[in-house]
Amino acid sequence: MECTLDQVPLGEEAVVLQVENESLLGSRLREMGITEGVRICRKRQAPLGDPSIYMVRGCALAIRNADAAHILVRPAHISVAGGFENRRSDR
Amino acid sequence: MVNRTIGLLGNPNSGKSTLFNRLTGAHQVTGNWPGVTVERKEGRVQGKPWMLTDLPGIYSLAAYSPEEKVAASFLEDTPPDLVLNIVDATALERNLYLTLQLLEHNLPTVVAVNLCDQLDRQGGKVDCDALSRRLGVPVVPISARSGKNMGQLLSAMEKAAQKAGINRPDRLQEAGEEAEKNRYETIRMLLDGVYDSGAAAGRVTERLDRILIDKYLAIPIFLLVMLLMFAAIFGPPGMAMKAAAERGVEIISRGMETLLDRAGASWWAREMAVDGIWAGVGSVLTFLPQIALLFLFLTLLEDSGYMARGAFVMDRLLQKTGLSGKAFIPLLMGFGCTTPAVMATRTLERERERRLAIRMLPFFSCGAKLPVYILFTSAFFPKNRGLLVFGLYILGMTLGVLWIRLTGGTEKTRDAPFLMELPPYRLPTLMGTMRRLWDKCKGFVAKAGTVIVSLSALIWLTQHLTFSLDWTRQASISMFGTVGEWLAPLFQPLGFGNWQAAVSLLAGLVAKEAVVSSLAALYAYGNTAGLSTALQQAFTPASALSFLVFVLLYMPCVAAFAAIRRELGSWRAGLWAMAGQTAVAYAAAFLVYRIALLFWPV
Repeated sequence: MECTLDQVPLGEEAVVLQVENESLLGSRLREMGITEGVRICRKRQAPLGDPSIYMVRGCALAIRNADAAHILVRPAHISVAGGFENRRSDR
Repeated sequence: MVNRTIGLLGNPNSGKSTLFNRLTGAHQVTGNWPGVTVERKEGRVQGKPWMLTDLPGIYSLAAYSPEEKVAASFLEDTPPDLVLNIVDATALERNLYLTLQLLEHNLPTVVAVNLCDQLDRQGGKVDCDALSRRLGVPVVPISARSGKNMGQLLSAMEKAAQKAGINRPDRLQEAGEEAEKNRYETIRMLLDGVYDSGAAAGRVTERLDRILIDKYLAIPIFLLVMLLMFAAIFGPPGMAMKAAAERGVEIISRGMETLLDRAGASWWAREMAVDGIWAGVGSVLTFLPQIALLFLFLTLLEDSGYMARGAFVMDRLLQKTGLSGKAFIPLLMGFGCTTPAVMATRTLERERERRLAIRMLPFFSCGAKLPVYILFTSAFFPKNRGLLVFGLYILGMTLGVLWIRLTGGTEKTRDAPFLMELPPYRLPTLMGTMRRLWDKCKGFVAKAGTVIVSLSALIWLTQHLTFSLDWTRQASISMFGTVGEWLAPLFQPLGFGNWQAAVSLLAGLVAKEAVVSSLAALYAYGNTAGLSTALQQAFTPASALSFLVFVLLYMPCVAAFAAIRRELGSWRAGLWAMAGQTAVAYAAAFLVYRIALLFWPV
């Protein structure tokens, strides 16, 4: 059931499994709160298809599809196993 | 006098500027950080002997962009006595990341939790006392906008500064992936039971976004906003304001004449003051209302949060040029003034993107060129004025993109990562807007008072003196006229081979407003109505169009050039950019002139 963040359907929530450690981008993403176990929701897509807005830790972040492809996630609605979760549901 | 330094630090959009204005009131000094061109704002805290320094908004102490580096190196090189860390209550998790880093560095810190009223409204709450106990530093809930709890904040700062050096938690963490993860783990534990964010993301923002960045509506709305902005500036509102300013300049001009006559001033003193200096300064000042209007729109777009949406919507388009949506903001600022816009590119993380944006910026017509457009379009194309000016802006942008693609496409690198926060929509405050507007207009007026005054005096003198230093009434045999005659043949192929046009373009290198002020001085008319008539005799519609295109595209003023040279890092790169720019201008003006001749033969 794993996929990358850019494949998450609009309006769906996912749990981050892994952020690829791609030099600058990786740590930037983690600093903005995209760490393992956090819930992230794909809210909206730009009119021209790229980037998309994701809600994470109460903030709206715009991330390009190419960059989102470096983030491994699983759907949130399947078993909530281990790790910590954002206490908040974004939908 | 000042016995304590305080650094104000926080995430972008956390209300940092509002708090800064609230604490310092009118006692502010703006300058630059040593060595770099990032704006540095300082101010005395009202009623206290403390100096507050406003640092660029950052998410983390790990510095990526030049702006973030400024904040990080300020803390390292000149550690303040106290750090005032402002955090956004509605996004506390993300905001506390920076707070943890500050504490890890053992910096004496006071945390101000801003936007508590907003959190209240969305049904959340935060227990600041409990959070303070867990963090080991004072935590004060405030509202920077309404000024709530400012007294409490000040006394917390006073106390914290007094016992700075003791009782601080020591939680130094190693850098890298683990540290980043651990900090969020720590935040989760810190906030457990003391924080409830309520309904995530304001419902207002949610609703507005549903319309403003809708799949189908976003682009039409964006274009409409841009069009509205132009319509207000160049349409009846802007023009009415300009007419009023012109009347004011005219009245002062008459007053000066009478006054100098009565004082018994000599002819040259009176003419230099009225027809030289005041004509130059006045013709520039009449454009102040429209330029203020432009800055007002840009300020409102930024403060309301719409600018970030624009960046989001435009990102895909900008990707093709090697830029990202983030570059959209400096580029939009370029419509105001190129110099600060060049400095604003410091928010871009990737060096390559930054250089592309800097080189593209001068193609985005700056506000100071507006007077030229208004003057010429009013004189030659009064019916299609707005449309024509809009067209010029589009032409500049299009050529800028083409030029960058042609010359910048040699190095193929991965696209810049695009990670941008979309802040909640906020109603800009009257005070905040007015203050920023004033800051920007002040620069424009100061320029009219310094550069334009001296330039107008210089132009008037060189216009009335020959190279053998004799007074003359015939401008064409003056120094000015002679230099113009040398230059004029260069512009013959573009249709405006008269010496007045040539020297006004030369004056425009000092400041673009000077194109109009020197044309005004050369035709020796104080008011622009008379100037229009004179221009109609000197130019044809075709050569006027060509002149407009040349002014739109040729190299920017020296201030912008200095900024571009500094930011590109070398004289060679700077001069190369200027030469390319002017070559494009020449070629485009030539083409436009030849095409226009088909419609308006001489």
